[in-house]
Amino acid sequence: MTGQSVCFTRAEGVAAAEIDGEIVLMAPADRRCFGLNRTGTQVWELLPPPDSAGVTPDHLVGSLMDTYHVQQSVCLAEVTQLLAAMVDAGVASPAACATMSTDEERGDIG
Amino acid sequence: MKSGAISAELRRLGRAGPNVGEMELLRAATLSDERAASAWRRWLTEFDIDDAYHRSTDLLPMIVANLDSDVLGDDRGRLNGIRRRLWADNQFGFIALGDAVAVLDAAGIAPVLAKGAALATTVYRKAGTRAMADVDLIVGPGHFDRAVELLVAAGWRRVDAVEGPFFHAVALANAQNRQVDVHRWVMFPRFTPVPEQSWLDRAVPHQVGATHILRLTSSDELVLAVLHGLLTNSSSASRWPVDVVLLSRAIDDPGSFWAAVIDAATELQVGPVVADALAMCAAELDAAVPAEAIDDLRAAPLDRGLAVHWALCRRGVTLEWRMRRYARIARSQGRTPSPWGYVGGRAEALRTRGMRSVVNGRVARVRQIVTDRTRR
Repeated sequence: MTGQSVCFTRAEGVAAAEIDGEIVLMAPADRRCFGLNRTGTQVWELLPPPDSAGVTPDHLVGSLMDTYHVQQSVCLAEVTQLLAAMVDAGVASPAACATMSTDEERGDIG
Repeated sequence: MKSGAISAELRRLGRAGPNVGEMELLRAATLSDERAASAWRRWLTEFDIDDAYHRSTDLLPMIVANLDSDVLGDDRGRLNGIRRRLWADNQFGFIALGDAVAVLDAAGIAPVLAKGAALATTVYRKAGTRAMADVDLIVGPGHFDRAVELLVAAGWRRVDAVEGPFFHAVALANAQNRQVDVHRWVMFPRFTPVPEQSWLDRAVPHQVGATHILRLTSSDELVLAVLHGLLTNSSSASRWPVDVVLLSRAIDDPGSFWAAVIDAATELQVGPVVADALAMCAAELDAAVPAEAIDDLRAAPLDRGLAVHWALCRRGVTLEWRMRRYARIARSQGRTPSPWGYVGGRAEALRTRGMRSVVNGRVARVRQIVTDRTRR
């Protein structure tokens, strides 16, 4: 996963709910449940619904940097790792990217 | 009403109503001010979360969703864990619901959803706050036998040893042991003297995840919640007051809603029992119930058989009334009840299920009653 060329959405059929400010998820394939911490919850909320154009990790990082004081490279690494775990778990999916401006593709937003 | 005191309305419910500890939890789950926090603190002085009976733990997710984090203190994380677990459990229930509805839909049977799964997906707006032991689907007497056959053929198994020919529902479980109760009727012939056909006729469209289904109207659901909670000595009978409170707070058109409740209770001849329940919820839990609605329900007719059952329930005695059930079924089908008709039905049940399952069912029932009587 490069973070530059792959986009993501929520996976089809995932059950999700907010409990005490954090998201819990149930994957449709194996019905395993996952709890996301505050940052993971924010990432989940930024992911588009299934069958939508996806977003890049850079796009997510751009939004997270508004909230968290963290180095962009560290943030990108952690978001990329989280997305990989979410894809493995079956709660997020690779998807076609939305058409974005060059600045957005570079993660320069925000 | 002073918080922690026992109102006349609560006393009126007797042993059929919540006990002192459950009442504190109900206050903590439904009230919106310091009274809720005080009730929670009082409960903690008498009870321990780890040792609580499940009629009490069923209420904990609603409490953690209702109270501020500073009131919950160190228990907040653990209680939210219970709430997440409940949410996940309910998802498995909804999956079972979808599987069962798909089997029935394919055969042209449109079931009506009732009780926990319907309430959890309507008036319980906060996720993971309504415990549900199973999913209740009403198919009506015309489709009942076929519906059970279809589900058994699809891999579901009958699980309840005590179900017989005079019972209103049969419990089925899937391979993951998730349970669906398939109902002939909603409560008839258990508590009501007439079948609730009108409840099925006025059921409304609903959606649970990707599953499209009908559900009871909210006014019928309120009557059902009260009767099931008060009259069954059920191990789940601590949840009904929260159901009532949330239903009463979710009403768009109070005039129509309460008129529909009164009509439904009058049709089934259960008005005074519903009045007693609503009066308690209004006095103790700030349920939004108009006094006129309670007065009208109290003046509505009460079936003679139910009057006896209600009087016994308030003293802690809950009988099955098999002969009464049989007689009601016979009359609803235009037949005259007779001793031979009853004995024939019972004998057929014993022949098909065997004495062992009947005895085991009775033993399990007695154990549950003893546990309920001795719990704190």
